[in-house]
Amino acid sequence: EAPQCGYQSCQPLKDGFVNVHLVPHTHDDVGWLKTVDQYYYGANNTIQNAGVQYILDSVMDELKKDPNRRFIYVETAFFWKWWIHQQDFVKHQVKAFVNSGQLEFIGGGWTMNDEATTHYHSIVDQMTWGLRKLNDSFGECGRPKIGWQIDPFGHSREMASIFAQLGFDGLLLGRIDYEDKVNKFATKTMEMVWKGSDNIDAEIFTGAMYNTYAPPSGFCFDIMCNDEPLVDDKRSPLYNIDRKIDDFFAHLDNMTKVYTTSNVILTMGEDFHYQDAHTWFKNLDKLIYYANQRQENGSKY
Amino acid sequence: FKDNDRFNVLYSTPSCYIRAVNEAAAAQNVEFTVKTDDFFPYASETHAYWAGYFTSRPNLKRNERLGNNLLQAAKQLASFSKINGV
Repeated sequence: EAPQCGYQSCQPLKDGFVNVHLVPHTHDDVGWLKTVDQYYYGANNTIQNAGVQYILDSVMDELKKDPNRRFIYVETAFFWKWWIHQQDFVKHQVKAFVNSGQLEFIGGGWTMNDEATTHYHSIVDQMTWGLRKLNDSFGECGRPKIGWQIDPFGHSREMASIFAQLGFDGLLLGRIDYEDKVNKFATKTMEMVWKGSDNIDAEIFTGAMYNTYAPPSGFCFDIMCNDEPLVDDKRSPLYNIDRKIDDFFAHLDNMTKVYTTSNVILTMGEDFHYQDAHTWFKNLDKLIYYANQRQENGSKY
Repeated sequence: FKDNDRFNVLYSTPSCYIRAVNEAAAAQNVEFTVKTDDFFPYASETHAYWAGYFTSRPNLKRNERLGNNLLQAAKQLASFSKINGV
């Protein structure tokens, strides 16, 4: 059957509504407080509780349960370590997720490189190395379309130029100067066209994110977080759907004040999240269901 | 927010989001501002400018640059070695 990845696989939007794009993700530093291998295997967890092999296993199990679920993965260095250890059965399953657009590679370099101290030569090499592995393994459906620089401390114009020349359709940023951000909120200019070069055609649509790369306060459902889970049993004393959906909509209301179109993106994940992907997806399923229920039920809630 | 006639929530990806933004912008005649400079320096709050790392660990920084030079030379020699009849 023909692959349905890429833009064809996008969920339908609803006209006349603000479409709220929930993007489940995990930010996996390729070495930081622990080494690459310690992060991959989940060793030395007293330093930081993080094990990427468990994240990828667990996410694949959760994607199986519902074709509407989505996940993005960014750091090919970790993905490749995991991929080469998988049985054929798992590889076929992962290919199916990539072909259906349930699993999408974003960024796709060997790592999410720094933009201040890197040489453009090395950036091209590390992007090529990651993209080569994805291309060899998944073909066109494994090709990232979006730059995902959510953690680098500042952003260079050359990086925008490189992404544009890689053929990417857009770039999303996490960290911009706090005063710049205040100004962009006030002037509704969080989204822009970044002209990466004076000399060549290197324009790329660029968006700065509302909350760096974290979920809204109160909506972190990872095992590493302590936010209350969504309790939808009305007979339970812990029932909280009405209040949580109100909180969620209040957050969205604030977001729509600073973005220009009828779309907002919510980054649902943080550093090394989804080691137990079930706690995230279980609650996101409910969040989507009960938020959209109000469209039909009106004032019933 | 009793009557939700505003929000539609869905699982999505950055590419689906950006496509939606661009299509909505075209439909609503939104013109994005054009940026031609960079995003340096980065400050997360007052008196917290992240410019120290431009120079931190100078030995490591130098070793990476030297490593890059060696890698490029090695790649060139490896490709020359495959040329026949030279």
